[in-house]
Amino acid sequence: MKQPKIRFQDVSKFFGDQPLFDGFNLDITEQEIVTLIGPSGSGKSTLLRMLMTLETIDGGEIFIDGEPLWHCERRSKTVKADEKHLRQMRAKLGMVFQHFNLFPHMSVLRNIAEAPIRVLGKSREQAYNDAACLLEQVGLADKADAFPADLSGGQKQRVGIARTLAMQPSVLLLDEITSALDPELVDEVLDVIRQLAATQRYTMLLVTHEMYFAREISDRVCFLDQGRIVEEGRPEQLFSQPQSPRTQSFLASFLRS
Amino acid sequence: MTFYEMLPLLLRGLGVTLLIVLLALPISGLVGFLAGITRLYAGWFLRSVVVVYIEFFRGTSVLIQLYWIYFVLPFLGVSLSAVSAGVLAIGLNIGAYVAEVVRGALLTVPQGQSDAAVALNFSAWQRLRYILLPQALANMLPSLGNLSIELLKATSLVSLITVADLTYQAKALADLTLQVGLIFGTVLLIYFFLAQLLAALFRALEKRVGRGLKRGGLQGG
Amino acid sequence: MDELYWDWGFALEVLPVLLQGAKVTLLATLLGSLLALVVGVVLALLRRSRLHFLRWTARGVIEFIRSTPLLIQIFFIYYITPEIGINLSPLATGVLALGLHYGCYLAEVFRAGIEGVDHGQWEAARALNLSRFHTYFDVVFPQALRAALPATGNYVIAMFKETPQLSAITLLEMMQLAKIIGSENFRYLEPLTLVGVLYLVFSLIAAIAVLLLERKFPPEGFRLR
Ligand SMILES: Nc1ncnc2c1ncn2[C@@H]1O[C@H](COP(=O)(O)OP(=O)(O)OP(=O)(O)O)[C@@H](O)[C@H]1O
Ligand SMILES: [Mg+2]
Repeated sequence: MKQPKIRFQDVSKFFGDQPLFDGFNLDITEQEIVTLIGPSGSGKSTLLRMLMTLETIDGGEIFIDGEPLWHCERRSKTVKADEKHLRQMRAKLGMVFQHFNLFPHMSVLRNIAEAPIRVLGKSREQAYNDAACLLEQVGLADKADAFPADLSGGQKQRVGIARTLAMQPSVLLLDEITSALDPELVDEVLDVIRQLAATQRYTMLLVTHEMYFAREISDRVCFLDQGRIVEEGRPEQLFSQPQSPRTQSFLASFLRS
Repeated sequence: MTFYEMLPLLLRGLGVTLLIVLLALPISGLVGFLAGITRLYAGWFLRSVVVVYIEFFRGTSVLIQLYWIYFVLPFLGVSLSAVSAGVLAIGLNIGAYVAEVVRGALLTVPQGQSDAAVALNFSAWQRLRYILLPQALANMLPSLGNLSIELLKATSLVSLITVADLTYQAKALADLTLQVGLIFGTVLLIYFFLAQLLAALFRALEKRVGRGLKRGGLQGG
Repeated sequence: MDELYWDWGFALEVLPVLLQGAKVTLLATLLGSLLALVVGVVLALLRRSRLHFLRWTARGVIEFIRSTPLLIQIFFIYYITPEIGINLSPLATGVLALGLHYGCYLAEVFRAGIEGVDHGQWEAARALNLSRFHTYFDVVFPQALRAALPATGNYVIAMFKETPQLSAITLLEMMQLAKIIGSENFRYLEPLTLVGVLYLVFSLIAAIAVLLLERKFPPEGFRLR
């Protein structure tokens, strides 16, 4: 079997002495689109943040392309990952946030071009050209010189996506990227992701409460509860014939609201 | 002695005061930024060193630190001129306060900003330099402006270790001529004017830094 | 060079003398704080006066005193009072200077406290037909002073830390005594270090006391009368 793009192996994570994850396992294949659903506090964000190195892990290991994330070889010894190793690994990942987290002191174009210039060492000209292309791609070509505060939520999030794509990651982590938006702005953001899924070859791990979207886009849906995957499967199967009672009641509560 | 005869002495004192301000201001800024950043991000050892520095210098007053550096350090083998002792004591003292301002301002930058910067693979230094500090700067400038005035006021203490600054000259002239109201009135006005100058300088800085940020709006991200 | 070393014998010898000085330091702080409270409240009220002239005068005085060195203010009072026929002891001079200087800081603290009192409270007072005096003393001050308590405490500690400046007018507080001992014995290490340590200790105790006070008075405020 092909090695998984991402592997969570026996991962544990504590907040205080309360375990959130304890021996957590999950494999994601290259170019697979996996959606996490689950009640609030079940650990969806934490899972993405551990992969993005925004949270440390307390046990186990996460592998990206077979390479451990939290450990590295130094002088032929396996040691705790240092900043250099983490930066190498992060280069494969990109994350889009629920609250956009755009840099308020930079124009839209600079928000996108800053990291390619500083981190990838692109020339200014190249970076700004590429940024303009990406803005075009997310339908905001006319907003290049605007500042984040001048944008609507949907526009901010599209800039957020463009900013992430500018770093050319192979894995996209999307954490409830539409849940801070007014309902009428949700689709303009989801359309961008639909477009990406249809035309590009990203591995995607996403958290969403938009069930119709999850159903339409995912190769696999995982229902997470209290740090465990209670049930997983193809979307049509999991949404129409959930096996576990907890999945059933979770989905039922969604239909009601 | 007429006022015009006193003027050269007062001006010479003013020159010394300005010299000390101009030397101590950058020292306090540099030390303060380094200490504030270290206290937030460095490992436990450096962090404890910085905490001890900050708490010691804020727990006692400039005058004690000044005397200690001027009178005690020579016993420990380090002799500084009165001016150097003054610059060092004032720079380190105000620096400790600057450190707390810098730390506080960095803490007000939302966590999401640093998260985004990590996700974009900025190095730790780049996160600080291009993402966190520019946003924190707008928040810290008003407090830094106040501290610059505290620094100016603190320079008057060097007169007590025989540095011939404005305060020293004023007191000498007062002892000599007994025209107390005129002399101290003038000198107070000069300090007041200098303080207003510093305040205006920092307001201008605030405007400059704020221009980019205000457009973006700090909550706008 | 034996003088490089800390001499415990000498330190223990001078400690009691310094503690005598500490009494003067604490007395100056106490009296200075009381004066500063009065000055602060008066200036804060003047800042809110209906008369334009009073408002601006108060504002100017506060700004001027806050942005000029305490040391010169001390000298100024020390030299000018005999000229106008008032003879003040060094302690009284020091208390006056500290009280005025920190009173101006407290004025801004109190003003912020008063302005922080919820608008509804003023309206309620007006609805109850309370006089201006009663509105201030029964409704506004209790809440405003409670809100101002932490900042006030910090300024009192700041004032305490600046008392060594009174050595400049020969007040025999801790610092002055330490300097005298130092110059008499040609050893500054122990007396000046001890003074520093004593100040640290006192500041720490005071900071804890402020925290305890904050805890003692509930956020709603306390009764003044
Ligand atoms: N920094 C933290 N400190 C302490 N507890 C935390 C921290 N971050 C997360 N938690 C706890 O971990 C649990 C999972 O949080 P997480 O944000 O991963 O949930 P989630 O599934 O994303 O929920 P939501 O749908 O509300 O976003 C929660 O109970 C939360 O309180
Ligand atoms: Mg979440």
